[in-house]
Amino acid sequence: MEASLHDNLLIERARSGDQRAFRQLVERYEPMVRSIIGGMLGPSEVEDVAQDVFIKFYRALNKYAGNAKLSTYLGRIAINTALTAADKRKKRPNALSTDHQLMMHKADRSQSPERTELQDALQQALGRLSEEYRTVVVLRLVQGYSVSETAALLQVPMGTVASRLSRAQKELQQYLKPILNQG
Amino acid sequence: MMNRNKYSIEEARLLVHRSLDEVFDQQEQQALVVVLAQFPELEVERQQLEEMRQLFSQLQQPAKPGFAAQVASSVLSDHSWYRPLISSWSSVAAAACVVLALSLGFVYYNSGTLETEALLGLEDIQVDDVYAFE
Repeated sequence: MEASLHDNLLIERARSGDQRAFRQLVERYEPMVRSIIGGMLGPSEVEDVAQDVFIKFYRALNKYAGNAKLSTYLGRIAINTALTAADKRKKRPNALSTDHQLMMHKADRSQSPERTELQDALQQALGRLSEEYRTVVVLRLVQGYSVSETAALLQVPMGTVASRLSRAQKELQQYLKPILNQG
Repeated sequence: MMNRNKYSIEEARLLVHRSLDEVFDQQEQQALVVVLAQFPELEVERQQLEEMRQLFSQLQQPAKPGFAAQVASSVLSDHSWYRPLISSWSSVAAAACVVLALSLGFVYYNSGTLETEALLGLEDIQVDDVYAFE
């Protein structure tokens, strides 16, 4: 509640043109937005799409009524922007597959190799899911939204969130068998 | 949902999934015990989801230094700083357009033209009227 009050204060300031307040909001929600976009699209498009998300957010500052939590509001913008970017990618004739993107991303690594291999495997498994299932997995398992928050974000009943996650989870069990058996 | 002995699989699954994030009261806790006894496969699903969540949390991304400043500068460079102003003044601008259109309509209705003289209300003024002011 305190964080949400603080958010509202920052939004008020950003609305009146305070760039520092807007910057603080970006800093606060950047990891969340990056994680959602990374999960939905893979690592290579995170930078540009995350920037789009915050620009859209800035342009819609006056439309935010404060009924939903800011994390839900921004999460919705992030999901919609990621889905639009995914559509555009499908229409591009020379679009890179998730596998290709991952190979390119490997050149830019600073973490331990084990960790990045695992991350690549998880990202590839996510990429094999349908958009509907991937969205729920990203929100529930990557970002840790609750069932009710995910339902509010996707504007679907809570039962739908649970059943989609259940089916997605069964698919993921298949794709990630080698990793799960190791553990 | 409370105080029952039987649940549909959908109800049961929703309760199990909610139990991953929410703190249940005593009634919900009892309901959870009942559904897990009724559908043992949901206990397996819950464990698998917990395991998956641990794995997938590794895809969480940290903030990148300088990103917020970059966003703020692109917001400024595309001059979108005035967009909030436009959106807050859009209703005032719309009302002003309506008033302007009505005024022009009124002038045209009365004088049959929208020439400068008609807009300034001078179309019927005579030379004698000018002398009358002296």
